[in-house]
Amino acid sequence: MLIIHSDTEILVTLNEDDESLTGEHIKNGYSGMLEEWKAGIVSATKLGNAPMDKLIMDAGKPRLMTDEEIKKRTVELEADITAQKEKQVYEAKIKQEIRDMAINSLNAKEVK
Amino acid sequence: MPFTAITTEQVAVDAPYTSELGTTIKEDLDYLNANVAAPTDVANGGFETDNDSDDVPDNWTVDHYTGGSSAFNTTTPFEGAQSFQFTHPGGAGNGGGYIESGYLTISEYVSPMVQFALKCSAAGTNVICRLRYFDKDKSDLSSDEDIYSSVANPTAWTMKTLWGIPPATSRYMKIRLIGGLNDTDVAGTVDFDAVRYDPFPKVLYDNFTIARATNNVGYADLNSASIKLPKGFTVARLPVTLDYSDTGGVSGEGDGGARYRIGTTYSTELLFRAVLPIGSNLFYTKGEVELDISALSGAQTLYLQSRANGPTVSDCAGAAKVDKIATYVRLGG
Repeated sequence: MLIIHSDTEILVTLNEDDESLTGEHIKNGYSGMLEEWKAGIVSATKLGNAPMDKLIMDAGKPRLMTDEEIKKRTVELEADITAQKEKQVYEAKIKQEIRDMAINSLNAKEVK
Repeated sequence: MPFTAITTEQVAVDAPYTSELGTTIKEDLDYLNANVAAPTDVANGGFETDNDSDDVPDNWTVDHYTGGSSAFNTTTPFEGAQSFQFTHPGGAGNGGGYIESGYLTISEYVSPMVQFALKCSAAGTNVICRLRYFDKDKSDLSSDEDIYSSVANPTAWTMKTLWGIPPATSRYMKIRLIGGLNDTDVAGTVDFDAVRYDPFPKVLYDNFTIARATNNVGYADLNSASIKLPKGFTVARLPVTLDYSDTGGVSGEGDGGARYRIGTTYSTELLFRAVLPIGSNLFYTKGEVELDISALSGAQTLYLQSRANGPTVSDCAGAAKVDKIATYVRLGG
């Protein structure tokens, strides 16, 4: 697997082992980063086959996350999703509350 | 020389044969030969004609494997009045046979399209459509290409449309249809009919399957498919489906795209930019992208790529759940 990256970010992953073709790939498929490639801001690293979501940038180079890091990230992701869902439920409750208040107010006006 | 009609009087019972009549017949035959010498279709491709009643369709040759036999099938042809049928008797080493066309003009620079109708009584019989290539002097290039080879054949009439990749110096080819190769011990009948060819097709189609995958960062190869590209073609039009969703049903903005690549040749992109509302967590974008194949032909690995970018877009899969149809277009000429 060929990973094209900056110091901080994975930009592209290709099922390719030939590093010498990196320039060709950038020229043909990612022309937007051609200048950065020429300037050495973008570079390429060869890794064994690794799922995209298990890669991490470390010290300017990509590497495979350890099992511990994957577990930690999964827990964080789940916590984040749970928080988002709780927030969504809370927002729905508020909306319902506002709606009920508006209906009550309208009913009160009609009674008068 | 022009075509000269021969009158009924010239061939009446009591009309004498003259040198003039002989010359007219010769010149008419030369005229016809010049006009049909290089037909761009398979002569007697529907196996309708057998003027010499030798049970071999005119303009074709037939050979049999041990135990094999053949005959015209006038009961259930695909088109016209008859198809041609081989019978594999079963038994190790036995087979049906094969039927071969005459020389068909082609070029090494363009993939010829070949069509034929096929029906087998047993799906497991080994059926092959083999293209035999020859140079301009009709010397066998010994680079035969099996454009169809299957032991899982249709048991109802099915039209097959395929193409070859002619090797260098090819100028002619012959189509050999093998019904019941003797390496496979499956008894049954194999019917062929409606054999056609086009030396310079403008459009060809094929199907391929690429497994679905998910990616939520920069472009990455998702999955690949082995495909065969025709020779002399310009553009591949490839369908792609993008599914994109938010995370946990939360609204937000996102963008992404999908495309294909073969080696370092990249297709155009199918892009999306969306604001995802709460509760709607899956969207589809379907489209077609174009890949320049003017410098490519033969067996290739096609990669599907996707990317996604945005705070809540987490799922961006250009994916195939079913077969996709690729369209290959030959521009110009």
